[in-house]
Amino acid sequence: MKLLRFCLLSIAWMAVVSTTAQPVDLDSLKRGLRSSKNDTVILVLSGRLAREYKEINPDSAYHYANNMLGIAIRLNLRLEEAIAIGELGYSLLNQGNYPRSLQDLLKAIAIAEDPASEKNILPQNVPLYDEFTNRNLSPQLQRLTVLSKVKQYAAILYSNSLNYKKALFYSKAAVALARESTNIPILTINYITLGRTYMYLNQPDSALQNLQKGYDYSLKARDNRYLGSILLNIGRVYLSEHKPAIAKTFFKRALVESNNRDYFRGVVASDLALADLFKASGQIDSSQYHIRHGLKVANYLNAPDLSLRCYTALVDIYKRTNTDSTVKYQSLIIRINNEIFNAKQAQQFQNIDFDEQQRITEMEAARKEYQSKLRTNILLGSTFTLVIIAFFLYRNSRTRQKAKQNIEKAYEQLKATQSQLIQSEKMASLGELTAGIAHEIQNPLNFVNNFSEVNKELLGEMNQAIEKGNLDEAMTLARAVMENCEKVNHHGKRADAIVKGMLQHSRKSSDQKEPTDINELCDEYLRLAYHGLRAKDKSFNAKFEIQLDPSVPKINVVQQEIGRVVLNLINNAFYACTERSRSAASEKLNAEGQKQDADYEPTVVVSTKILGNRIEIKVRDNGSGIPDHIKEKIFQPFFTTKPPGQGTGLGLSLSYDIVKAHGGELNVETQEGQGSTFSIKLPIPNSGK
Amino acid sequence: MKILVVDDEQDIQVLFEQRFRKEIRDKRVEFFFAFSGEEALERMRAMEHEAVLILSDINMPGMNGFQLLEEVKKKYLKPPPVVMMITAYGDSENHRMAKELGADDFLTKPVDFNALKEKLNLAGA
Repeated sequence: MKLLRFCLLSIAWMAVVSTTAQPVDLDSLKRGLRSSKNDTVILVLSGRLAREYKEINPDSAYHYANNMLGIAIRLNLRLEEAIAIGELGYSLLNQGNYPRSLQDLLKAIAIAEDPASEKNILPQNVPLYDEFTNRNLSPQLQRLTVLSKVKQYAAILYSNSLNYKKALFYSKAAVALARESTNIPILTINYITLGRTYMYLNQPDSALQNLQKGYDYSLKARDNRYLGSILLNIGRVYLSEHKPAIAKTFFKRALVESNNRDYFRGVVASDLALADLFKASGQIDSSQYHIRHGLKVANYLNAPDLSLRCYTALVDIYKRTNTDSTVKYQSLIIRINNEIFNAKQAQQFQNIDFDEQQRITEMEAARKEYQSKLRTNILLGSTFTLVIIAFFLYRNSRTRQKAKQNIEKAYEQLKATQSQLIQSEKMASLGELTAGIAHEIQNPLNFVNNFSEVNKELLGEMNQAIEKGNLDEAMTLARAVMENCEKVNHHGKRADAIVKGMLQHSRKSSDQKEPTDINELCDEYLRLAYHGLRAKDKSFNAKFEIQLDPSVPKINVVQQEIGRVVLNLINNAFYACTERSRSAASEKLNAEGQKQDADYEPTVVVSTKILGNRIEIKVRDNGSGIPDHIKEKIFQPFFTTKPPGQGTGLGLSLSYDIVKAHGGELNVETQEGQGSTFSIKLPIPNSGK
Repeated sequence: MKILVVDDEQDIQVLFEQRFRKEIRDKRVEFFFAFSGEEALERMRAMEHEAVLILSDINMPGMNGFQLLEEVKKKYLKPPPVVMMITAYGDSENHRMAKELGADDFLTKPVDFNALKEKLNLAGA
């Protein structure tokens, strides 16, 4: 039976796994993945796909590494788990999400540092993920290989975030581990990273020496897609030594090699290096050509860091050739974008760095504790030594106390920053509201002022009527005055509610739950959102409908919080409609296209309904919809599709948290180009009679 | 004089009827009301262009005041009716936009009815 299973497995391998050096048919890998039910096959195929995608599409690489991780955990394969988490970290790094990348890489390092991960490893006959896996090595050496690889990723991460000292630390450690592991491909790639780090540290000799080693090994290896990276970095070193002509030949070779080997980040980097050289020698057209090419690849890669570099380079070129104010404006946008990108990331990065320090502190503390215990055993019986131990323990606990205080302080700071962030998001949405509020207040005010003035006139007339003894007339007038008074009162209250709502919206959350009429709340915020947008954008136009279920009961919620969620969803819905009208308008221009989108009628529908023991609030739009590949990201903090400066990327993530905190659910159904429906489901407490 | 008032606020009808009660009693003016841009066009059609003056809000769901203005000024080739825009936004951008689309006057909310009467030549009666 075992033999049979083995045979079946082997057939599966042959069918779907080709050897590393040959060009890979991604589709056949994916087909294999879909049809396979064997965990190990799925593990390896996911690993293969992650490898194939890692330099061409980090999003896909992330997906497959995640696949791999799930199985590694299920099969309790710790080393494969470290590999998978390492690949997650690497794809996050390429997506420009440094904080989460660091988090994952540190996790992977921790696993691979633990010798226990050698215990359960895959048998030799299982096919490889990539050129770095070598199952013929001893379990220990395999573990060191993995450790070396994840440390190398950490070095790249630190070098990308301009912390070269840390990059050097990790890179050196990675090289030492690679040497120990006797795994040549991993050593090769590590020489490149080390060389690159030396280059950034302005040590050209060490840089060239290591790059040369990488190059030599690379030529011997049957498959190294990072050859271009070596050439590029050698070129950079020459450039730093003021030898642009030599540098240029290296850059050109780097471009070709990276392109041939599908190392697209290398392509962009080479393009940018060449663009810089051409710019320096005044060949602006050539420079521009390379930046544009690089930009295309970077955008395809979905690598924000590289795109940003391309944009910056492009603006730099424009500034020389074209003093147009629009271009200046563009450079401004990009600079802001740059700042946002950096500031946001830097803060999160520090948080995680802090976590790492905490881990180290804890490890240190545990080690000290162990030592002190050891001493206690050896020296037990002697009062003298007991005194020493007491002293030691005292000192120990004091250092730990101090460390603890530091950690607590940092944690407090972190919490303060977070609440500031939330407050600023509130203020941002308040800004969006004010225009709507102005309109909403002027309307009731119009009635208050005018009806009260009319009343004065009417009372005058009433007086005259009484003087004339015309009581009928006087009574008719009195009735009119009373009716008007009611109107004044009604519109006064309306204005009052709007102002109160505004104050509540900006106020820090009181966390006070109160019985709330969900229908009223939906109605109010729909109007506010609509008029707010109308005020901001004169061309904005959309229909809105409201379908309220009158049987929806009052429920206990934090009013301004749920209000904020509803407002956020409605604003997004209108935004999606505007996006689609915009594209509909441009289609109109494309001479009688077959699409009927030209008679597109943007509509937002807000509805409420009772769903068993829950209330459902739905916000439906027929706007642009959400593409599949970002659907999963929309609830993540800082994720936004809006242009820089227009969205904080916190709206939906805060909404999600708020609904969760109310014991509810926030879901989305969407189809690209058709529209989206967000639904909030809130529990009705004690709905039984 | 026939005046068509367009606003999505229902109470605007009572307000106008009271504010102009003397003028209405003296048959110097006759008011019609529409609560959306679409309804306004409908009414205009039914009234066979009798209205000589339109007072319109700008911010309304569906067809807004600007679209109504554009429609009216484009469609009525003969002497088109006088259109005054009334809005809660007193900003210059709105003002400019109204002028550009051919509005004859521009008033902001809260409406000063004495000023409005003067503009309509109904003052002092």
